[in-house]
Amino acid sequence: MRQKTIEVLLVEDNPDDVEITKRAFAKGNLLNRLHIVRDGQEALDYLYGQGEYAEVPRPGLILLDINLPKVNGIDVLRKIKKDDDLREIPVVMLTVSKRDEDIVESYDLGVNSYIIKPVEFDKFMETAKNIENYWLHTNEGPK
Amino acid sequence: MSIRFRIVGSFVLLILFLIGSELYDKIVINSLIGDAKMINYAGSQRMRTAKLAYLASVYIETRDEAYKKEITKEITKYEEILDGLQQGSEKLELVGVNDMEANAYIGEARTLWTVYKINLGEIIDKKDARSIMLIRELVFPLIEEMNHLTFRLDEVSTSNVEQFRQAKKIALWIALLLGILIAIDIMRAIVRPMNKLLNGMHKVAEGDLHLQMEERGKNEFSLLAASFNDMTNSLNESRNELEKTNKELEDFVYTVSHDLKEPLRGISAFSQFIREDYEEKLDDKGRDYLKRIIKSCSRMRELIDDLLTLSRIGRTKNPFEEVDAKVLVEEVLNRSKHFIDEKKVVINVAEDLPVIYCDKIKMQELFANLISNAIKFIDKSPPVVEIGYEKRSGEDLFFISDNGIGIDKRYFDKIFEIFQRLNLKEDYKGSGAGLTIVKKVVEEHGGRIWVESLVGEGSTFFFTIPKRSNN
Repeated sequence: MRQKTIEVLLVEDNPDDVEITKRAFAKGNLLNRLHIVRDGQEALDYLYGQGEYAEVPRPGLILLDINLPKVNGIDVLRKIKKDDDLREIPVVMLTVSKRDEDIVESYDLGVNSYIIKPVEFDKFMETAKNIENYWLHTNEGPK
Repeated sequence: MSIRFRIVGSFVLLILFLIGSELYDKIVINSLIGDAKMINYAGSQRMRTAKLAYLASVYIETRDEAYKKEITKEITKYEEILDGLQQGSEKLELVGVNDMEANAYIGEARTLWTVYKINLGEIIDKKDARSIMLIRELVFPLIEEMNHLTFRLDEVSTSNVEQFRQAKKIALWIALLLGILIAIDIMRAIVRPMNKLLNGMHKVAEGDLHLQMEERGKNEFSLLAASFNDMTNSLNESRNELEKTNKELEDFVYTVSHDLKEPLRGISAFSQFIREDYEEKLDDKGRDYLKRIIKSCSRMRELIDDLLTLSRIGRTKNPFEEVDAKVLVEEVLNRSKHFIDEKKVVINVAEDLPVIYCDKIKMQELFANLISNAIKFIDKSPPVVEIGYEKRSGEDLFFISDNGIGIDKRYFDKIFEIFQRLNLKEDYKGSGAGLTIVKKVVEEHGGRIWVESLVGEGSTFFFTIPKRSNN
């Protein structure tokens, strides 16, 4: 397997989910560096390199929770997809929500994938694997 | 106008008309009686003319004063009658002519009579026998004139009778017409609005609570229509209130279930991490506890998933369509093929499953739940599940029977309640929401569901789906 390092930005406010995601990605085949931000505003600051995020690497994949404090995931997604520079980064929505309007809106905004967080860790692992495979088999995006 | 006023008014009108008609009859009949008197008197004048001629000639021969007296009396009588015929007389109960022709005859008779009377005077006063010749000449013309008058009066009277007959006929038709108009009016005032209300009632009974009755005019029915509208409005409000509450409840269930999932995900994941990373550091007791935590997590997840399914069933409304139940059941069986093969279940599906009008997705859910429920509780070998159908008037009856453990009669209703499980968790998996979901789907389709069972023999679940109504 081709080894490459992906910078993954995880936007997630729930510390449990952060820990679970970390573990799931740690067990995967992909070498990755997980950068974690806790709300929508922080995510935008990270992406625009503002404040403490001035020197962070540009992510190759964004895992975005929908229900976030300050700025919610849908709004973050909207901003990303409107920005010519950020638009190319694949975005995967990670959420518990199965609400149709959220899914429809995300796809309307050009989300790359949509994953409903499963309760069981095994299923979460599968999800993480799917994300990795997805990333491996898609365009890496501009560097 | 109030209906009471209309009915009372109509009858007053009818009674007034009948009284008027009765009065008219009386007047006409009186006038006909008057006509008869006129005719009689006119007739009697003919006789009187002849009598006077006879008396005059006898008087000339006998010179008997009695005849003279008689002649004078008859002359007075003749004139009295002649005046009475022309101008009317209370004493003789004569009304007088109002016919021009008859009046002309009287006029001519009077002229002749004047001469006649003079000649009679000549005879009785001057005993002039020559006058008798003139009397004899005049007697027939005078009688003739009276004859004309009599016939004319008879003619007038006959035509009056004919007129009366016509008038009675017209009055009868008017009364009939009036009766019909009153009947139509009452029909319009009562029967029509009543039918409208009846139709409205039917529609409301069928569930159309937006129906509003026209509150036209001001009568008992417009009041009734107003009350009817008040009724549908308040029913509508209650229904909206109920729907709102139901929706709130379903949203609440949805939200709570989702929120519960989040911490559960943590518990579930971290207990698994402990197992993966630290299992060997635990003793047997610790491992047993961990196993119990993980198991409880699964159970909790099942419960939440069922709750979510249940709330989804209530929240989502898919369009109804014509679905071939046979194809639908095959699809459901294909999806559970793995499970069915594993348990070596014999499934018999009736050949004649009908096309039903339903929410396809929910109907699949219904069959899937009933079939898996049937299989779940079979303890015999081979397990046999039968899916059958019976055509009924207005509805289709389906049944799914098994040769499983059966259900005690006491629990026939309880099994449809959420999370009611009659068996120990260890023996039979599942959360206990399946039959609640099934019941909800059946009820959403307007059908009924029930179970018949014998402990140790098996159970049969029956449910009905109403046929699509034509309107």
